[in-house]
Amino acid sequence: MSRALVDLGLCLRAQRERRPVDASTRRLVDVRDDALLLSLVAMPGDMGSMWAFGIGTLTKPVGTVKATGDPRSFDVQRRMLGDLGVALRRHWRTWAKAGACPQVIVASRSALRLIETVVFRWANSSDLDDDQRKAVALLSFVAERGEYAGSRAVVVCTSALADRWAVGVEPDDADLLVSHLDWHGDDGPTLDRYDEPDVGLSDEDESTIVTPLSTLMSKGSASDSASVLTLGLSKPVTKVIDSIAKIRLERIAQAARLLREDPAPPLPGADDLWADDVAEWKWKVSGFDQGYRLGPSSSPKASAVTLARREEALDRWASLRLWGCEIELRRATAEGRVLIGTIADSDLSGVTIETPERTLRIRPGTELAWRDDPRIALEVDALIDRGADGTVVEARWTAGMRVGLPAVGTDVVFCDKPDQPRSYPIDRVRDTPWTHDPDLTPTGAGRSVSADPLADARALRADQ
Amino acid sequence: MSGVDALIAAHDDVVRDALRAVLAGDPAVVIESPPGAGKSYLVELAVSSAVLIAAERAAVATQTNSQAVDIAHRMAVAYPQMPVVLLTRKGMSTPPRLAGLANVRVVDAPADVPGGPAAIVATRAKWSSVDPGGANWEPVDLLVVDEAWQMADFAYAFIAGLAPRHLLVGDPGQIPPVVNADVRRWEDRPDGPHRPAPEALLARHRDAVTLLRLPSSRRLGAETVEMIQPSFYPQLPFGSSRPATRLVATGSPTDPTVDPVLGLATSGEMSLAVLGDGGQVRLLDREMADTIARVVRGALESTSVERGGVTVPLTPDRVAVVTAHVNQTAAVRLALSGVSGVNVDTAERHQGLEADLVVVWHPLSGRVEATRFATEAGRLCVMTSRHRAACVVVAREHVAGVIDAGPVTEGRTLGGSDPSWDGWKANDALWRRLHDGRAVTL
Repeated sequence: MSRALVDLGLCLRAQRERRPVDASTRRLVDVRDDALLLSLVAMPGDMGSMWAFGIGTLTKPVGTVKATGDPRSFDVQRRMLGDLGVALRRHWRTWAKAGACPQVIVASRSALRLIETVVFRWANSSDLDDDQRKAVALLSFVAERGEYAGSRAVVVCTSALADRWAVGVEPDDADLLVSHLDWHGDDGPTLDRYDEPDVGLSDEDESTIVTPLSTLMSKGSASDSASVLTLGLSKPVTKVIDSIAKIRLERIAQAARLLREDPAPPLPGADDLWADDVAEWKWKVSGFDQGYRLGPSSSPKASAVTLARREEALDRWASLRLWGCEIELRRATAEGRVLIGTIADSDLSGVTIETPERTLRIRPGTELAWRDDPRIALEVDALIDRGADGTVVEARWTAGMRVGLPAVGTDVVFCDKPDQPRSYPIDRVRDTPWTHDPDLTPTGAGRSVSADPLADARALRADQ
Repeated sequence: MSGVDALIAAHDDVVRDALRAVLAGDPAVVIESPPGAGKSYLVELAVSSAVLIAAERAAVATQTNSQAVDIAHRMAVAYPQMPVVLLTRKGMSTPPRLAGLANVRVVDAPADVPGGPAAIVATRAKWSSVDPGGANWEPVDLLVVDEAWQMADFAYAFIAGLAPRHLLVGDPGQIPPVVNADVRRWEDRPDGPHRPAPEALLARHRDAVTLLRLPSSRRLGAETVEMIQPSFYPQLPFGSSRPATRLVATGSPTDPTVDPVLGLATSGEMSLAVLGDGGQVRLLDREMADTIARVVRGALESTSVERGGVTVPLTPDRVAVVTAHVNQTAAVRLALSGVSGVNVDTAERHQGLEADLVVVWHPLSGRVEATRFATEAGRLCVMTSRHRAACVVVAREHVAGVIDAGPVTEGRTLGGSDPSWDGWKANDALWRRLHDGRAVTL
């Protein structure tokens, strides 16, 4: 059994009960009062061109919305960015004053991809004004933090809803916010008039918008291959896209409210991940103030650090969820990562645990901590397969011997130790090693070597 | 000189070149090694040369704790005159294997590592916590990375500053490093942080790297090399320098249904046993598990291993079963109840291990399409390159159809490599080679 089967079970339960069911026993995101709702709109296959943006807040979901019928000239795109920057001015001042980082709520992973594409297109541009740079800086921050597990700076609604509640969404629709909202029985905007799937603007709009666009196009020309631009329909198209952005903001607001009103207790221990959000924002603002480029660096060192930090965040988030959430524990158990059993024998040096489980990923050398008291830890020495009776695990105590070990006969749950120390301290690469600096070319020392270094090395061996 | 002798001489020449490059002070030496080519031996030679001949400090980075203990033990035994330090995680007790060795010191803090020439062994995770500019740290001259293709470049970046010179040794055909975070941003970059460290280093600094390829395997026989080299190592031609080794029949199995499989296994190194599927495709397949267990039992009852003219019984500790999934491992273990000592585990756990007889649960058995995981070339390569004498691949008959349907098109990146296609191609090539002449239907 795997974690996917646990999730399938939850999904089937949701289908049977015709309501969302818990996929986590904890609230995994905290939506702040000052959270910013953000939506960009693009055409399929043209992710780099922004057709509209909309930003809003929980209290006023549809704040500023700007749309265009043709964003394909650089000037129009720049103007869109500038408009976004102007809309951000007030928020920017608030974040600076509070010493906080923004919290941005987007609809889906596809939305994040679009934001990332816009960032890559504009981050290196040298002729942006202050407002345009503000927009790029915020989008760059969102694109990067959106890839960090557990980030509070970016909330991706579809992921956050799916992490918290299982619903009967088909895998193909899992990235569509409207699919999730349907299951939560919201009384949101009526989308019936956009109900006919056709060309679509992005995945998210597949089932919502597009009739108006196709109607416009068919009215404009007998040739349906002509572009919207050549049809001269920029103005009506703008109107349609404007309405798309508004609807999207309203949907994001609905999702944000669901997450905000979630009555489950919060997941404890994620403060350091959120501190990373703040540190990253400060770094971004400092780069902005000093006029640096706003996008992610693609140097080998920066790439290595970025990926290392993403991996760290994933590990940390997985550990927090495992220790804080009973359903996550069930998933880990299904994967064989958790040792659930009874203590059959124990003294100060070692312990024998009998488990009915047979599918275990635990191996000799695996370190585990007791879920009731993580100060008590063990290292697995051996696993003895008892066939249908399960497995006997022999282990050594490695921590907590003075705390009070669980007695023989106790039912125990051991899992990966919590709060793993950081594996990749960033200051270890403060001096870029030559291996990761393409501009450095080291040369060999050219030392003289004996004629047969193999014979020399073999002669030193004890087994010669 | 016979072909094998010539191959051994050519192999020694490459090892000699590697040691020469290390001792001459080349900035980086990368050694591509086929399975069973003596990577660990090469690491021992290189480290001992640096420490005992050049009086240097050498840092050895491994991927796991058990590899670190293993390599420290091997070096300490082979070179009793060489100081060997095992730098462990905090609080780890001295491994029993190292306890009685006079030249070994086990420490858990970098500040406790003694100065002077020494071989210092630690996992790459531990090394990444060592500050090469720290006050209590005496710099090292050479960084040796064992199983370097299992280390992603981002992890390499955190230990690369430890020493000015590097030796990276590994098998490019194995399972690539596990990276869980999103890497789309770098997918098209040959030096992306998710790539194996040696590949990224070569992409950035080809001119500064001495690249050498070991030309022979001492574990795999000629027939196996003929099968797997074109499938998994198209860029790394190699031959077999293994002494004649084979599985020989010494009796009849109690279960006669496995006789044809064992007949094939004793007549060559690699064979394919195809099990009818009756139109049913399931991932957790107890009949497959039972069949594999019957093959293992039959082999233990009725075969021995002949190596260099000496015949030894095939005992459970000389047999391994390799699967793609943990639940398949559990199913085989259950089916093998009563037979203890057979190493049944996933391909990931079998990396670096070997056995006389290896029985493989084909990763596409129970799959309806050739997904990237199921066709991962490294996984099948590990599965089919662990054996010293014989390898039996057990597969459902639907596998042929899954391969014929072609690879899935998931996750292809413009300008990047295409693991799905590469894996499918390797699977297809191996399947055809096995199916045409080395297959039996059960």
